[in-house]
Amino acid sequence: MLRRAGFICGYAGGILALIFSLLMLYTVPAGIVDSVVQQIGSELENEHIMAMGEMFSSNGWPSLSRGAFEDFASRVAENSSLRVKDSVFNQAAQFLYRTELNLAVSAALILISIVAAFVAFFGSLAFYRRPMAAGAMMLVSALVLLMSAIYTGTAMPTALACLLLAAGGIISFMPEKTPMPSHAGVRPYTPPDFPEDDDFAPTRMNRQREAPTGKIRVHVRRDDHID
Amino acid sequence: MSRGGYLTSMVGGVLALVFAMLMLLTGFWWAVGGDLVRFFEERGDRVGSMWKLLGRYHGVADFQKEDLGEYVTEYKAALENTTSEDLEALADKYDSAAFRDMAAIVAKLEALRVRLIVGTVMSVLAAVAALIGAQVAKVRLKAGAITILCASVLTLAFSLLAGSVLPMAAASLLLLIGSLVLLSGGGARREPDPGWEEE
Repeated sequence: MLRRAGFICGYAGGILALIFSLLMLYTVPAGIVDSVVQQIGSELENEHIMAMGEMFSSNGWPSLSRGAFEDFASRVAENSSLRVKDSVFNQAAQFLYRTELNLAVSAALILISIVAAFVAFFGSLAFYRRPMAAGAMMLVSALVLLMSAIYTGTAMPTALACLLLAAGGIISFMPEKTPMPSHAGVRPYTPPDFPEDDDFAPTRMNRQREAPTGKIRVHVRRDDHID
Repeated sequence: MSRGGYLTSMVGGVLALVFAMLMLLTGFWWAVGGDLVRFFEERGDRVGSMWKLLGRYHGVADFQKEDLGEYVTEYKAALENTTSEDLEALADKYDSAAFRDMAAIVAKLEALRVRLIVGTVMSVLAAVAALIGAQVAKVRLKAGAITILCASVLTLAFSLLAGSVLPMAAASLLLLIGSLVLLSGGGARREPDPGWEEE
């Protein structure tokens, strides 16, 4: 019963993780655009926007490093006809660098979340066959999903999926119910296996001869000698 | 239970879920992607002046004259409130083909929006039903197979509604094949009773 509950938790968590990680494709870019617009309104001045326009229209967009953006800003400021200080270009370049870095990190996290969700889903499918591996897959994926969801600001819906995955993962690590020890005195009869009989299918009569209707009980002593 | 049918159903269910979640993007792209590309190719140089005229239409002061924070807030609200009728009015006022083209694109989006959202949500639910059906088929073969069959029809129907049938058709086909294989495998004869039983 507990194992079935664990499988259901893991499977539901895997499906929810898939849904919420794919939903990040919409929510994260929308959140970034919103925060960038707010930052433009609160942190920047009109001259920063004009400097950015100048930088966008210039050739040789820099690679993703702070130094490259600073060099680019000073290069654009030298050739610019705008009457703004060089420090304005530098501040605009810093803003663009931060935004681009945020975009790159968010894109990587979305990708990692989708991969983690797939790992969790396939882990839940392996729940009965490889419980330890399935548990590890679900727990690690839940952790990765939660971390990336917290970073991207979408923790609330993803937390439910992580909770279900964690429950499934923990249950998969619980030991199965200990099997009852076999009775010392009675062992079920097993028909003898003759390799030379493997070439043809046994007829019903043969099977009845091998295993008669009444059950055969053989008495076994503890040292496995048959009486 | 047929292993092939189960695997096909699972793959189809996962693909259906992925394509359903991407349907907002694909539906948008199928509907207006080509028009948007053509607009920016042909009238990309008009975007700056359109921006300014749209701001004036909504009473937003020009960029250089006012505080940037106020400008951003007001322009954001103006963009959110702009409808295809506003763009048509601007096209008539300035006799602008660029505004008319943009009005046609926005009108298409407005017509598609409800269908796209409903189609996406229902496709996601149908895909989840297919994934549940694949697991149910392990214990109740016929019930699971029928659930998958219904899900395949529903995903196809809702993707048609959302105007994004092409990627979803592959997933629906897989679900259909999986359900049919499961249904045909359900009638297979069981192994005969070996004649003895374990104690």
